[in-house]
Amino acid sequence: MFTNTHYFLKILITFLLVVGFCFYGNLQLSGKFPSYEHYLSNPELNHKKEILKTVQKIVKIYPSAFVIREKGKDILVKTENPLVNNFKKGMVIDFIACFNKEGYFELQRYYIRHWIRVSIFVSFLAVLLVVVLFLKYFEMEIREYKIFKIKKLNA
Amino acid sequence: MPDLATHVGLLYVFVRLFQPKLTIFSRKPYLFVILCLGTILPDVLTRVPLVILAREVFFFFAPLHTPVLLFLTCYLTSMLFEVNLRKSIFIILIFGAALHLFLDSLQKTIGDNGYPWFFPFSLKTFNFGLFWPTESIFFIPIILITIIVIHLLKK
Repeated sequence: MFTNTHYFLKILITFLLVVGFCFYGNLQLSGKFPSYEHYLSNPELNHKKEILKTVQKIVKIYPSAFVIREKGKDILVKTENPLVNNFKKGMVIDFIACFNKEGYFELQRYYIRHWIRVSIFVSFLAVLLVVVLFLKYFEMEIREYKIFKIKKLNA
Repeated sequence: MPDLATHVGLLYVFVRLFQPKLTIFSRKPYLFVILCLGTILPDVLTRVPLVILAREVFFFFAPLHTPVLLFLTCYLTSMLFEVNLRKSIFIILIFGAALHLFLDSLQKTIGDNGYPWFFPFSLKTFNFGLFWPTESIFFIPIILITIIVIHLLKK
């Protein structure tokens, strides 16, 4: 009886600690890292800090820059990232950029939509593999344990 | 975050390379599955709720990607197993999660948007900045070839 109570108490305390830290984290982190929507809705921040541009189609490609069209206006986004060579006209990307001294957008980070999809898909496959292996090995373990118990009873 | 296939693949390569020293995984194969579970745990805990629930819950679950909370979560997970297995499962889960965090620490982030490794004591973020998160998919073919080569060599 004591062991069971002790066991559930340990689980309950750890669970409450985890949930408590999650609440604390929610308060602290959401204040420290404002959401991208916050950046987008605040025009003053837009010109000072990095912002996220989502689902933008590239309309033109240069060796070290690309152009997106926003509200009918072309925006030049500069980059030193050699992987920009992967970009194609019409490609959909999510990216974070900030204004530099010359008033251009400077690319800081980007995600090509189809690579994100590939990333999520392979992650899903990995999780599936781990779950299948987990079930397989534990089914084996349980079977062995049952055989061991039956042998023990017979003896 | 590098995708989970990269995490699991690199973990497999790591275990196979250090197999002579990590004999526990050949004696008890299910422990390798637990190790895989440990390595996908940080992303499963923080990303799955985003898919199931909404983007707004991100900061609530984000602390589960930090060492202190992962320690507690691994402890909580290990409590679901049989008494004799708990200690080894807890250590292996921690080891898997630590490898995940190590790999995540190598990636680039923009500005302060890294992982707060010392949460809840400090919100300071730090990353080595070697690659962008989605670039890890380009390493999957290399990891797969390495796994095949290791398999062939061990035979």
